[in-house]
Amino acid sequence: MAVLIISSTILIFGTLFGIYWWAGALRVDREEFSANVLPHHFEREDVNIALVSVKALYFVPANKRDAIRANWREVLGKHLERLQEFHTLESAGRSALQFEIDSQPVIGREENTFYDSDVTQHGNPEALRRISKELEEGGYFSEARDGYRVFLILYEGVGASGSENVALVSSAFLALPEYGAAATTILAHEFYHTLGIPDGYDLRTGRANSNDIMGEGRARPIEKTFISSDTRARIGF
Amino acid sequence: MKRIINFIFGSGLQNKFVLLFLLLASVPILIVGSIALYAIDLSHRHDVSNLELALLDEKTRETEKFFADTLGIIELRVGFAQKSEIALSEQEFLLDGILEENSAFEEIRFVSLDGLETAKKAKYSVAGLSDVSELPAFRKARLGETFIGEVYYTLSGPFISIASPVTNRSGDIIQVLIAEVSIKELIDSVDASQIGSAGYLFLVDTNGSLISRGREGRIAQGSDLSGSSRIRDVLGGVLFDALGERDRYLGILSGIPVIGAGKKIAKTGWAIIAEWPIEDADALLRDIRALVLRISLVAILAVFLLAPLFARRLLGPIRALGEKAEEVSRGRFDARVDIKTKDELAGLGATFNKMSEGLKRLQELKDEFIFIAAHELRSPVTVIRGYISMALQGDGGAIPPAAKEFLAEADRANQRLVQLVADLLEVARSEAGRISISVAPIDIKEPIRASLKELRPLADEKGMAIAYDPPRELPNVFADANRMKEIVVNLVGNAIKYTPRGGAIEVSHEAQGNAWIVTHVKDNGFGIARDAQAKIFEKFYRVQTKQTEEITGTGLGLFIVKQIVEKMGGKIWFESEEGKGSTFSFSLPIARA
Repeated sequence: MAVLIISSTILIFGTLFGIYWWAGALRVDREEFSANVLPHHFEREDVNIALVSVKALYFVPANKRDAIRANWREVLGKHLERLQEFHTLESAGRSALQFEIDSQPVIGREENTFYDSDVTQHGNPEALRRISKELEEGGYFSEARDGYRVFLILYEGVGASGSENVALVSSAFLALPEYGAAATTILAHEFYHTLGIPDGYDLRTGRANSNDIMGEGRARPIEKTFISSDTRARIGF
Repeated sequence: MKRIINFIFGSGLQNKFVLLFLLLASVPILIVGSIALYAIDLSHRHDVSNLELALLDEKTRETEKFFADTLGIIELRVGFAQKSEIALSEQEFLLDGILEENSAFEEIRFVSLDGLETAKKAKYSVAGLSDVSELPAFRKARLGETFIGEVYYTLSGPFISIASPVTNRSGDIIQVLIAEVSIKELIDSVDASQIGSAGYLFLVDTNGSLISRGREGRIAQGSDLSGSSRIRDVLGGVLFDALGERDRYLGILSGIPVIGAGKKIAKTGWAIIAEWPIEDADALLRDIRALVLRISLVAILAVFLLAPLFARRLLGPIRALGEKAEEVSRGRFDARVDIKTKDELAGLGATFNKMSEGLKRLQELKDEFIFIAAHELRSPVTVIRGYISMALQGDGGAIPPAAKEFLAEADRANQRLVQLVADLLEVARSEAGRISISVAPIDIKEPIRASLKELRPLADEKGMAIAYDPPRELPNVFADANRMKEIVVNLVGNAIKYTPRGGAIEVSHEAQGNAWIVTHVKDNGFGIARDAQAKIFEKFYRVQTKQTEEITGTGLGLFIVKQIVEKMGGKIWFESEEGKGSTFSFSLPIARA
């Protein structure tokens, strides 16, 4: 009988604790997530852009030394900071942008007529090509850096252009008040070309096929423009 | 520990009661406790679900109203019937009006049917008019449908493109209106939503991007959540309501266990999700569950502790009845029980007392009968003894030898009858409290010697030696000299009877401190079997073995001896081993001068 009492007691307390742990007990479902791809170059998935290192310089043709803007570093730094904020937002924090600005302007070997082309409607890609070549010959691009490398040339000339790893923006866009609120957007637009993102408008007709920073949105202030979801998906943002 | 175990696990009946109490009390507690827990949990789940769904519905209505309002503004219908564009001045006037009317509009433009902007206004500086014929907003609106684009994220907050055809009075599409609308106010409203103290809401657009981060800011706005199967389900139109098996999960935004609910907003195709951390949502439930457990535990422990008490209390009267019945079985008919339970047990106690009284009366009648019968028999048997004695002595003339032998046999039988009558009278007197004993300080050596002298012929007849060598200075004891002889005759007589021929008997004394003189009567006779030893002082009990079957006796001698010794203030006991002999001892109080 004593054994029966002990067994019943164990059973009673066991049932009590069983009920406590069973009735309304916490059971959490496992959420299934499919893995996201890493941020990468627009055309090349193997090129990681989780970290983008921007090196900015002020390129002045040999005959434009007198036109050097006194506050160029300050102005460029301010726009790059805004670009940094924009990039963090659009990449949802998945890609970091860090930058450094050369302390002194780089004086070109040639005069501005050598670098500028007659037609700047397409952003003066000729200046970008020639300046890039000169900088490369000077060993400027050979310095090793962490992450994906981008060289941003603030050009004391005309035009704005961007290609693989290198972008060029006329200092006039950043400094002159008539470009105002959209100045950083222009810089950002060219910067995103360095990540392989193509234009969102027809270069010949100007007809926009996207509403974002690469198309119709390239003329809006940086606070009002964006990268389209299609593009973000294609670069893993 | 042993006392505790004995307290809980007493007799068999107590254990049965304890088990019964435990089961009768604990099973309902467990059933009620589990039902309470289940009901509370179910009710709580519904409450949480209702709360989350109500908030989702409220925010869904708010979102739908926002889009109804904004789209309503750009769904423009002009008053003329011509299929021509609105005058340029009027376009600019209308755009200014729209920007002024609704603060969510940041940029708006009229577009001609061939996709060229005709007028554009914004709250910020914008470039000149451009060709937007390739934009999805234009293409859809050009076909006569309103357009709600995907959410995009800017440094000044989330935006959305909307577009609508502009129609004339005849319903012909004459132009298209495209607007960039800030949804920051809407998102702020969702972000500000709160359930409990830690629950939050968030929105996900049709691509699975996080529009609002809720109050939980761990994940960046615009993050791709399309990898979540739950988000995909909701975007696909599957509602989850915090009641399903899978609705408790690790929060998509917070990463901690949450109770979630979610639905699709039909107007925009977005998903709106509510997540309430379980830690917060179940705080009250957890307290209630702990309380129910504590109460159940205390109740069961109380039952466990009280059950033996109740069982013992219930069994108390039964135990008392058992003890008194045991006394009655030993002949103590004055045993009474006092049960005050005012129930059947009290009735049983009263009946027991009546039974005891009846038995006592019956015993008194029996004793009276024995006393009267013995008393009345004593005279005839004494007369018979006298006449047989006279006949044997030839007072009635010579008798033939055969008749003499018959008379001798009759005399022996009569002597046994005389002894039986005497014993019965003694027993009757003893039980009636009428035994007469006159205690005084005496030297017990004299009555012992006298008794041994009386028994000597009997011992000689069996060739037995009786040794008695008392110390010279034996203290006097309180005793009745005549009764002392009766004791010695009985004990030594028994020793002679139950010791084989040629045996030895020894009578000795021993002083126990200054209080008692113990007298031992030791023989090397048959001894007493262990099972017979407990009954040896009972009335009419005689040891029945092959060795004793020829020995005559009434079975009253030791009973009478015990009564006499105890009446004189002493005690009697014995030690015996079968086949080796017995030692009967009795103590008497030393008489001080």
